[in-house]
Amino acid sequence: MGLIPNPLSSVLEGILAYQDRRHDVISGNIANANTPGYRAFDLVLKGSMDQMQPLEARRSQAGHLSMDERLDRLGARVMRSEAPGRLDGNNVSMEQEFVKLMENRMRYNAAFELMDRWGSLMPLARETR
Amino acid sequence: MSFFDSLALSAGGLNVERARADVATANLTNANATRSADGGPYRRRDTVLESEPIGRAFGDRLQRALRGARVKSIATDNRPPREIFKPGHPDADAEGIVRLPNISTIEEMVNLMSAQRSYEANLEAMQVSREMAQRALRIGRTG
Repeated sequence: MGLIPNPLSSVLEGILAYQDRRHDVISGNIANANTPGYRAFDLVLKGSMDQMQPLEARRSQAGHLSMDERLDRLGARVMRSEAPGRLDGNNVSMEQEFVKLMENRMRYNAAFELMDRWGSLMPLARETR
Repeated sequence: MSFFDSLALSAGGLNVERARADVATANLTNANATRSADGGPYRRRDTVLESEPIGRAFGDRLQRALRGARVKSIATDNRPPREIFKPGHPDADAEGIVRLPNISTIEEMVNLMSAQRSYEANLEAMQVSREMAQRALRIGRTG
């Protein structure tokens, strides 16, 4: 990203990558809303306020293999929901997945807005020298 | 910003929900069929679903964790048929008992509504994918 001062650029890139991948996870949960035994999972940032099911404790997936390094740098982790399953073992909550879908999209658009605005400020900065 | 994975996942979901809706509709249509191709009353069908990896053998850990949904098979419900006493019926047996499909209309309607709602959710996810991809293409364009 040559448009933007460096530290901000890598944070924004990381956030966009996170939202992009999180969208994949949410799409997968929605597609499997009726698959017996399927447990919903999510991609969460360390210390984020996006508590999927605040009443249940969440375990992170064991695994020493890394994800995309931008996601690793952000501290993103894959978390499997421990919400109780229904009769067939499936624990996807369509309502929650939908909320996540909408929220994620809004934040994705906001990150792009931010990137665009920074981009338009750069030529202005050069002119004032 | 590749949205191929999420599109593939949503497409799989759409197929699954369409199959569930088709099976529920078939069950409803044949709820009173005393004769079927296999002889005997129509037997209720059910979809057997499973989740499977979306085929990214060389992706990173997150890509390998993604699971798509698919219809494994259409199973036949083997519960015994419903029996009613109707001696005049063409398919009545020697004791006047007619065997009907053991289908609950309410259950099939609920399955149908659930399939419809889930189908729409997958459609919505697909539209969000498209919107996000298009937003990425507009980067840098101000005003």
